[in-house]
Amino acid sequence: MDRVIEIEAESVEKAVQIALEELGASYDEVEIEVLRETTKSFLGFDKKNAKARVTVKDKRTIRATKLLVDVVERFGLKANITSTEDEDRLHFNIEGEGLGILIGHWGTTLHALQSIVAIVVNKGEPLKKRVVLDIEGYRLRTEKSLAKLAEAMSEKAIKENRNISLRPMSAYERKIIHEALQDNPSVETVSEGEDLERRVIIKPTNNKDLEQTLI
Amino acid sequence: MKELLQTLAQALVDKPEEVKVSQIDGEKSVILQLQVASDDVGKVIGKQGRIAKALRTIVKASATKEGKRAIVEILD
Repeated sequence: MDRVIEIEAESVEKAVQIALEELGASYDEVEIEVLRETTKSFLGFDKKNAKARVTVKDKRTIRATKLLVDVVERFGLKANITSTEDEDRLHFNIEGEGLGILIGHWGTTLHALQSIVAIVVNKGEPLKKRVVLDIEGYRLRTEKSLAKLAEAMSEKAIKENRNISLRPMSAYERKIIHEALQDNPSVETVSEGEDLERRVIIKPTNNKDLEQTLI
Repeated sequence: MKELLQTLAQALVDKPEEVKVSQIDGEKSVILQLQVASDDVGKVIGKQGRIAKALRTIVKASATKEGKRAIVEILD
């Protein structure tokens, strides 16, 4: 059930306040979009009211945010947690100071936290939602640099006409590499190896049978 | 560290009031013993121990901050 209302009032604050009363929700449980600030023309004539759209968040988002706030606090850190929702995903972003400890080596702590949040969020819900957690844009930066690496290595594979084997990567990192090259007809990608040794091999498509060469 | 594990475990289980964590402090390491209701044990361990592994990763990160090694034991 989506609960959204739009309210006009003399100020944004007032509009939000009315919306919260009508929805019976608290400030933490809603997403606020300012549609229009109060505008006033010369001499105060033709005054236009402010308008805000207030949406009650998915209760899963509220549950997850509460958990993240608690975890950040238990780490003795201060951070701001924002969330966005779309049809099948919930995104959370943690911003603050000294959050490297929450990211960990190669993002291990971030991934652990994300998996716990995903379980807590979907507990007892018939419709599962994917959870994407980011901390200070770490995930975005990683995805960009991995896509760049995939691009460079695919060019090398084509140019040197041989298979290129990347360093061992986590499932998440490998997925980014596969996705970055899935629309490139000149190469194909496969994962080989077990557990911690699992890595992506980039193969030029005209050259499937060549022995793989490690770099 | 104890409170962190408690917070995470309580969010995962069906009976948060039965979550107990005891902490044994050593010189360089800390042992955290997690106890949950018997129906909830699977919820803090997970398939192939995945949840337990994630819990350990997070608790260890927090321990590193204090310059210690953390060991998480799940009692059943």
